[in-house]
Amino acid sequence: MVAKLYVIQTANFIPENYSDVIRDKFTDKVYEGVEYKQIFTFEHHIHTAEGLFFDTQEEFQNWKNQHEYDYFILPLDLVPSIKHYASWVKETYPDKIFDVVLGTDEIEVEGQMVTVPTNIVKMIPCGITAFNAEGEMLLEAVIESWNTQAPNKVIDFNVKFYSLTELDNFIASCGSSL
Amino acid sequence: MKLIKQNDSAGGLIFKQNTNGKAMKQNYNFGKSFIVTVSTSIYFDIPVNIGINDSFTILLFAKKKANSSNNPQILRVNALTDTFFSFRASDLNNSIAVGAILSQNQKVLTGFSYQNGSVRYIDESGNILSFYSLMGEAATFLRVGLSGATVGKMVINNLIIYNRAVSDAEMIYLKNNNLGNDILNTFGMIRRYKMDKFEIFNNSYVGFRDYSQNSLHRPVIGLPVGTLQEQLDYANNNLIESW
Repeated sequence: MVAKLYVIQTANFIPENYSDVIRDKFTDKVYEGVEYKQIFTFEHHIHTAEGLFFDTQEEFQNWKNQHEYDYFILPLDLVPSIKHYASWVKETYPDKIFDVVLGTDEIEVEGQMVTVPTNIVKMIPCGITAFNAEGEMLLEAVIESWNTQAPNKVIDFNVKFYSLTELDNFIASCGSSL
Repeated sequence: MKLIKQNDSAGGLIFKQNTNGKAMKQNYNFGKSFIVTVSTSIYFDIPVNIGINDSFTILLFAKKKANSSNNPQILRVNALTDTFFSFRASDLNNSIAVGAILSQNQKVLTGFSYQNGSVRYIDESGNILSFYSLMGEAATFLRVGLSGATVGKMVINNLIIYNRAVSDAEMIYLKNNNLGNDILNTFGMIRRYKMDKFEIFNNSYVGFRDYSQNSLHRPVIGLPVGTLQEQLDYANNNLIESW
């Protein structure tokens, strides 16, 4: 008798596609911000080809890891010790580096007052899936450092993003002034 | 004494030749056992009520089946991480984790007794080691079979809990050079799960039978969703293996 782990998006879930033995026994999960229904059951109770079937926990884990990417943001320049860590992100996601302006000055250009940034910190997003323990540890140091060096600029470093798209949207909404 | 035949099923027969060349029989060995691997999240919980001043014994016979440097953690107290109570042995750099291989001496602990701070435990080879330590916390339930973040495969058999500290001799007798012996007596025995086969109980769940007088049969968590008969067949075909 073959038992498999089965996952289907909640939006595509039709109860009639499953035997009444398992129909109401699914577990609700969220992967990458998308709602899924999940069950470990015998294949013959599933009467549809839709959804994903996993023979082993390892297969399922691999799939899950790809869909549970978390990111957070770190100020690149404030903590020298994270530069080696940040370089991986810089290399992998060069378009994800963005600026945060800490201070501005107003100067007169051709008779008009213009605001220019005077203190810019480069920010990087870091994936904690790849560097879970190290990343979390660094994050604590970064928050402490940030609170000391930029006490007037409140940033929620604990914000997490479940996909690159979500992170992109966040960066776009921050612009260059967060 | 020469071993001439062995039947690996529970309650099977082991025939030995005595000094006159005649066959003697021994009517017990560990037999079929519950498989614990890292790829399954299948376990069962046993309610217990062990206070920090109580004497007790927990025995769980375990055997490594896959060739790996590590083993699944197979027994936890109060579902806490990988440690078991707060005992510390002078010759170990670990708290007790029954079933787990200890990094320092690569031994699999298979059980221990406790009385007034004296902890006597039996390792995979049947050696008795001892140390003094006070119990760190009361136990309200034990979780059996749930693997930790390790690799490897083990089979486990005969979880026995006594509300007394059994003697060294009794522990060695029960382990019987890793072949297993039937219990000497049931005095103070509060739980005993042979884990040699799954059964359906009360027409409501699949689990393991408690052979102690308390008959606290326990459901096994994590089986595939299906009818009880399907779960039973799956469990007996996939989660039980010879010792």
